[in-house]
Amino acid sequence: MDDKLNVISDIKNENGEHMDYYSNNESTDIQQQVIAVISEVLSMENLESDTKFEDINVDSISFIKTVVSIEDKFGIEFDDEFLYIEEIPTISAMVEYIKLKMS
Amino acid sequence: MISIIESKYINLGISQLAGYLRHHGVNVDLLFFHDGESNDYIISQIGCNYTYYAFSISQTNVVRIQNIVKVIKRNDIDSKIIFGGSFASMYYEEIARDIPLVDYIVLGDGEVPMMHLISGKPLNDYPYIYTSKNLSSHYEMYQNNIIDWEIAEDYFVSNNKKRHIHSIISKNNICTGSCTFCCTYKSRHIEYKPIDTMVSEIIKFNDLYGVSHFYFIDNDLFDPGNQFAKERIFKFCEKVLELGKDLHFYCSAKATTFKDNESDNALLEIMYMAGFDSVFLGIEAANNDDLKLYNKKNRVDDNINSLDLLRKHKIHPDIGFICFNPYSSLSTLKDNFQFLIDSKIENITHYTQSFLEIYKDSPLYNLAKKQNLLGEKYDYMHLDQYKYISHDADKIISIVSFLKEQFKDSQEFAIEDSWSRFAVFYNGLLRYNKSLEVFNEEYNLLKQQYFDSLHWYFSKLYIDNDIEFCRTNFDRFLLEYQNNKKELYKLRARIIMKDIRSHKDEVHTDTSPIELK
Repeated sequence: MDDKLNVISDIKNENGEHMDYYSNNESTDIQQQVIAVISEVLSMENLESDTKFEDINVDSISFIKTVVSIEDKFGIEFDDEFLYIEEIPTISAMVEYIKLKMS
Repeated sequence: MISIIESKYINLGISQLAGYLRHHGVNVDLLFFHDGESNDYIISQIGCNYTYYAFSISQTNVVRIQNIVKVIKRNDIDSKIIFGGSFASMYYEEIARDIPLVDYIVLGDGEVPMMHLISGKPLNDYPYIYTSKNLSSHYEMYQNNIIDWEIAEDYFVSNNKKRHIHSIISKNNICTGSCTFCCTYKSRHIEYKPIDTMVSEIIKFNDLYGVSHFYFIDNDLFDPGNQFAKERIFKFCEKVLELGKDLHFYCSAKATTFKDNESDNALLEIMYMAGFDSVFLGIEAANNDDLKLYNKKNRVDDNINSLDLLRKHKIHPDIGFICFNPYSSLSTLKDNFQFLIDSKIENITHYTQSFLEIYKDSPLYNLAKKQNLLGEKYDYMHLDQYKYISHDADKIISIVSFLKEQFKDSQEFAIEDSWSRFAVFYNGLLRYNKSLEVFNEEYNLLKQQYFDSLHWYFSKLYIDNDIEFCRTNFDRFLLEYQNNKKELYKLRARIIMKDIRSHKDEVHTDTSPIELK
């Protein structure tokens, strides 16, 4: 599981602050869309990119509800290994994973 | 009010207490924590702005709560610390001796004594609250013999955990059993809550908070087990069905409650249809010697028949089980293991940590004390430190030592049991969403792998008594256990995704109490 976490962080590192595939504007746009989706699903406000799901008491079922909405929004499909908060612990990790799947 | 428990389930007792106090105008915050959360985190969440800090005390949390209390008192020496719960009630003298920072220990059911305390009434000669300054000549546990208060709308709303679960009491607080390991004596006088009131309560919580999971916290929903009591629950189920809602219920019953006759089959059928996912049975043992020792009315055949009947009606049986007691022999251990594995009991703690705990003043305590079976290390923190009297005692002690050494403090096994929770969860989803049956084959395969692994490993321990084999192969067993759990998580996630997609406009899955992580 740790290796998979590294996949996300490695991609982030390889491409500087963000992935090469996306401009800063595109990245920001994706991030804003992700935050909007999560805010709606979880009925929460003031979410930031570094917000940890665990800190806002997101349980595994709420997390999967979020995943379903994000899949619909971005037309992607999460791999089974990434259906847990442990694999995608923060909103920024979610954004990185979405960018990876869209690339 | 603060609860720190092993699982991520909410603490129903403290929730009920908080609801009662709120209903009576007391400003109560309810904070739930679990074992995986650090003391620093818990302290940061609790803060230091309260007059009273009330903790639900158990054998497993008393040490860490002692440390938390030190910090609270350091921040505000005038704050008042209250302990409560059945463990604190039983061992108030020992706890007060070991944790002098505690100001009050509420004895027995806490609702009325807590109101007494918070109202500022005098405590002198009040027997239901222990304080070092109370010079009462005697103390006793308060008993809510009759639950005559109205429901509190905010019973189970906590400040830090979103858990949409509610518990229901269907009658006054009684117990018709007389188990020798129990030291809580309750009234046997039954007064039932009207069915219409229970259903109104369900509707209210479902409408107000979207609660769809309800626990009946009566010791036995079907007391005293006669036809009238069963017909009462039948009527309850009829009323629930009329609501047309996707609801989930959990309750406890005796292993002698259900018989394979026409009326009980009809009852179980309508219970399933109404939403009963799981019934907890006080099975406790799989050999008649142990069952007699515990003064259980059920015998091994009743246990097997009850499990079969529940499963026939797709209701998942959860069980209470004790494998080890001072009178255990290799033969009783073998019988217990064989029952667990043959009956496909998922909960791994039944295989690894099911040691009888002998509570002070229980009939078994008196017996063990009389026979000098309480060991030198036996005390309120080590209730399973008794002697074994069988001629196999040395071997049994080796098995016990091995189990404690390998399993007791292992985080892997300390986490709430995955398979039994998942089985209940899946069962509940299947009732309302038949499209999930496509996962049955995968589910059954994974479950069989799980039991194959349990059988392979624990048969060596309980049947062959080959501790060396178990020691040598522990890592292999652990790996199989972990891999199985990983696959289970994946399956669970896919099931939830399909369920959400099947009911995109509905929200019933978000209220599940099942939390596997």
